[in-house]
Amino acid sequence: MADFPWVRIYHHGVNRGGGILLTSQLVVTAAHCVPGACVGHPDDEVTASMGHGAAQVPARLVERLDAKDLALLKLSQPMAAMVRLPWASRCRRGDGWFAPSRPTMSDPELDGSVTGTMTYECVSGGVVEAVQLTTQAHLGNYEGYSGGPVFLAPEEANKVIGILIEQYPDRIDLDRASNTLFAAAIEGVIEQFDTLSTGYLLRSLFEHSVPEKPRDEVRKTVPLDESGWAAAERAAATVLGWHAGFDVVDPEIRSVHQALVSKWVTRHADEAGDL
Amino acid sequence: MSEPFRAMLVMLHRSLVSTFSAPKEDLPRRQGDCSSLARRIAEFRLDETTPTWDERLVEHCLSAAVLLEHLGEREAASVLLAACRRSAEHDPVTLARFTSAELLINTRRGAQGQLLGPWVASGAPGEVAARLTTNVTLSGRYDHALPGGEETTSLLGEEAFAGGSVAHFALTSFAFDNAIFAARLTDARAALGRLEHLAAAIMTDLGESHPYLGLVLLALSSAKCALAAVEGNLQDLRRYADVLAVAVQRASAQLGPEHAQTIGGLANLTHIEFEIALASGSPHEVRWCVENLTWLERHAGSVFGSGHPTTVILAMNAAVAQLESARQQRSVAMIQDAESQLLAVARRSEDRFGSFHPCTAIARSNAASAGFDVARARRSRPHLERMVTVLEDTVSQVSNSLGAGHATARALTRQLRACHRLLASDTPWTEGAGGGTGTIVRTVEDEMWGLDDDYVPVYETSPPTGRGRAADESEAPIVVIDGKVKRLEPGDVVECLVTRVTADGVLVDINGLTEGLIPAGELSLRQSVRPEDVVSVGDTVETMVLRGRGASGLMRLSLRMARHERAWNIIAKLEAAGEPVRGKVVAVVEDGLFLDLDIGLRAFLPASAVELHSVPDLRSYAGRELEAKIVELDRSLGNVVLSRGVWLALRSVRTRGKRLTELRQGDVRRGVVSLVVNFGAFVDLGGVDGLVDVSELSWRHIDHPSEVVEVGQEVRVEVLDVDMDREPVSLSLKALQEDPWPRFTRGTPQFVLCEVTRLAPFGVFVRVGDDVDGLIHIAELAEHRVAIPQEVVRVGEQVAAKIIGLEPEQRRVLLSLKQAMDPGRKPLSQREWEILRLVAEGRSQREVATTVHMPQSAVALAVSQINRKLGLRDEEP
Repeated sequence: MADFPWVRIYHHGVNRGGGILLTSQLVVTAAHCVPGACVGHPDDEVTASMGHGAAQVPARLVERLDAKDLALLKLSQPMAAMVRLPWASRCRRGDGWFAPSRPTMSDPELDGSVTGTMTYECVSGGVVEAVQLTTQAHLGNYEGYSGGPVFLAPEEANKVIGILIEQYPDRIDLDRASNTLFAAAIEGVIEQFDTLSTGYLLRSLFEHSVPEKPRDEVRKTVPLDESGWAAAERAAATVLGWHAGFDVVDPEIRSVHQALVSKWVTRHADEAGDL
Repeated sequence: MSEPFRAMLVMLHRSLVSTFSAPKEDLPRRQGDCSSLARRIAEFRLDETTPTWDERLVEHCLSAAVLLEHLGEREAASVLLAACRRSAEHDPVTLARFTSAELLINTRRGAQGQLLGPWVASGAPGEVAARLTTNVTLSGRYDHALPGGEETTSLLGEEAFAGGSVAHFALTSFAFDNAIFAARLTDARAALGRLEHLAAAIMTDLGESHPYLGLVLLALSSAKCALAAVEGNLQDLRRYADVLAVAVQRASAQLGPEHAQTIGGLANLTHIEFEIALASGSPHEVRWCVENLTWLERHAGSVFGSGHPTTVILAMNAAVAQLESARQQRSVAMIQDAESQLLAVARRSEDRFGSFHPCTAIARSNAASAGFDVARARRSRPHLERMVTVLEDTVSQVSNSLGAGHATARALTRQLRACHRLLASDTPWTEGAGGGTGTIVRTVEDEMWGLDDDYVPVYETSPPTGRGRAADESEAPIVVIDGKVKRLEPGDVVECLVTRVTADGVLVDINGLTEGLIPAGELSLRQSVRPEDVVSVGDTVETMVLRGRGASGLMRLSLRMARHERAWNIIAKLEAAGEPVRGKVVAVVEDGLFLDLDIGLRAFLPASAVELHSVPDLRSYAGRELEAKIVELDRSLGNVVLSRGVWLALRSVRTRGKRLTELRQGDVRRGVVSLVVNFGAFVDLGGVDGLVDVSELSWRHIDHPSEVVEVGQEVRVEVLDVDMDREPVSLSLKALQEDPWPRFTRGTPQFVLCEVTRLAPFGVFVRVGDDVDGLIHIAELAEHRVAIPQEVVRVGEQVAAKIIGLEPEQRRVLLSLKQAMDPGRKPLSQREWEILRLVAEGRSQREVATTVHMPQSAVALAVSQINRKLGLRDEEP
């Protein structure tokens, strides 16, 4: 069993970074971990494996947002049976974090504390909600850690707060990275992808039963799915002086019409199925 | 009844609905109309004009009350509620609806705590109270102190309620839950359709990015999953579960992982994954789901407390999953664990919901059925009967409180029937869940599943075809069995043609008119086999009918049970005839071996009966094909006990005399090593045992026979001596191997590389090449005086020595280390020894270069250096 729901991403067989299993099949990673891959790429181009040395599963690129350095992959078979899916979560300044995904088994695991959350402009120009992290390990270069999930300490909670996207360079030696890293906040990540948007998902649940209709049409048809009702309402309003309530109508006329309408209503109430 | 009241109510409801969907500019006028109408209704003296309350009127009334509350017509809303209350008191379903509406209204009034408390605690049917509490909890409105509670409230605030569709959605969502809860699938489907329409309307009203849509998505995907699970549609269930998973992640990100919505959603998702794992028959995944559910229960317990409804229901789901997993693994100990866990959950549920609540009843009933299985495995008849009594009590209690037609009561009755049947027949326990008492996984079922005998839902992967539908669905199909025309009934064995093989099961054609489904779990005795490995399209297979055609029009069949049935018939005949059975060892345990017999049964071979003699370590038998005699057969308990010892003894008696006369001195035979002892190895020559003495095993010196042979190894041996009266026959392994001595003496090199094998006070024994032993006398070890050989060499060390003599009688070479080392010359390095060895083996320069990792050109240089060090001419080594 895998301890945390992260995968290693391979592009053309080369280990490029990590990714987080958002559901049993959907993996979020950094776009630069699948360079050049596009939606509809060949099946064997991108693969993912649960941990080091595990079998690689082909993955399909569903969506990529290059400006924000995010990519959404779908595995060809579900992995959820083997992992405990994470809780997408928020963090605060000073929270402890750790990133279980590391490039190889001989690399160290990163951990540290959260510096803060902010709106961050990526190298590629996009703006994302990000978490600034300070890591205890001074590696000078954090290549291979990209795309990996950032979890909140303690480990048991299984709360994910973001995915690693960028390292910040050391200002004295620009070839080295400082120990400041940036992760895209998971909440923002979910919002970024169209495929994960509520509108898209709701429509996928509607199947073919609810075609997209203009607003007015929906309003008319949703509560009154029988045109008869609208007609009945109009008739009733005319007859009973609906707009003024029952008061204005002569008692005799009222009783006659009431009987008529109640007959009509009872009949149609039995026929109509809606609440 | 008072017709005007009814008419006005319906009219009011209609106008309210239309008011909520009217354009904004039209709103004030319409609201005014509704208000005046509502006031008219409030003036009705209901005591005098008591209407006949039917379901539809209640729905109109409650819906109108909720909508009026949104309009601010509190008085009228209260009047309508009060009017419904009296009618609701007699019917649990109406009561649930009524309380849902009351809840919605009171939530708006901020009075939820006061009203809910009495309902949950009072003597109102536990079912209603629990349902409500769960609803409220899952809506995040149960307790404002919960983390994220306020957030939800703000999400559900004025803006969200401004549109009528939101209130409508919430109400319809309750209606769906109630329908599912009361097992009215037609209503549930209708409610789901309405939910879809309303969700579309909300999306249009609030805009796609509104946070409330997250909750709509969670509710709609949960509802879709619930219906797909109840309908047994695995394909849809998987699809909706994917959406639900994203919805849960969204809820977690928006509301936090401790929020009731998030935990409720994940609990739902995990239970669905468990059901999928059950349907796909993967024990590993089921075990994992059990762990997940248990973990989630702990999490919910730490957030809400262990007595909270969500926690209790999660605990129940976890315990049920545990039981199902235990049944899959056929482990009595695990079933016992699950039983005690279920009993604990039943107590917790009783404290929380009351003793007649479905959760309590199901926990108790599942515990009793687990106890029943344990009793069966232990062959304890009194215990069996006690468990059946417990089940009977539970069923009668539930039937009295909820009605015999209630889904829970029916599921329990079914479980009880299964137990009665098992008690009466002698169906063996090892059949596991499929043929056992069954676990109640969900409380809801389709009315159309009237024929089903066990409750675990069976999933189908493809829609039934036209042919299956064409046949009269109410009738069992007619087939010809053994020349007789009959209607198929559960338990019948019938031949079918495989028409389609999928990952989840196999579709078969029964008689050209009827289709049947063999779920993947019913294909083989072995767990987690792939259907395509068992059958392929066009095969004719014998299957057993599990149950008749359900809603899908497909008969449920089992290949496993048919094979099981046939296997028992065959094995009974074999036992009667005294014939042996063959099987492969699939598991080695402390007490013996488990064999998968060729005829399709699992059997036990006790450790004491594996061989004629005792075997200390059975591990070497794993995976071997063995033949053994049946010594015990108990169909009721599913026990097959074998003895290979008895079979070997029998066979040996039968064949020994004959075989012995066939054996001649000098014969070469094949045999299997049956035992390795200090003085040699016993070889089974097919009925006759022979002994290879330790000295006959190899040309070289060995300390123990296990250096050369192991139990189970097939060997070629030469017969040295046959004594008709004495066993065993003397055999030799060495006689069939080439004597290395002549080969060695033919081309004796001057220098050899040898390995130190043993140290003695007078010198060192070494091995030269593979098979020749040599001795370096202590005086030949070094120039200086050596007291003990350890001063110079260690066992296992490679040394270069000079051959100084041959002892053909003892087949021994005399060597010298002293003479190999010329004084004053530098010793050889490790790499140089390696090169020396490779060159001596006749390897090419290129091979040597790749082995020792040096350029090819450097090899010749290294060789000449070695020669110089050894005092040899260049061409010599």
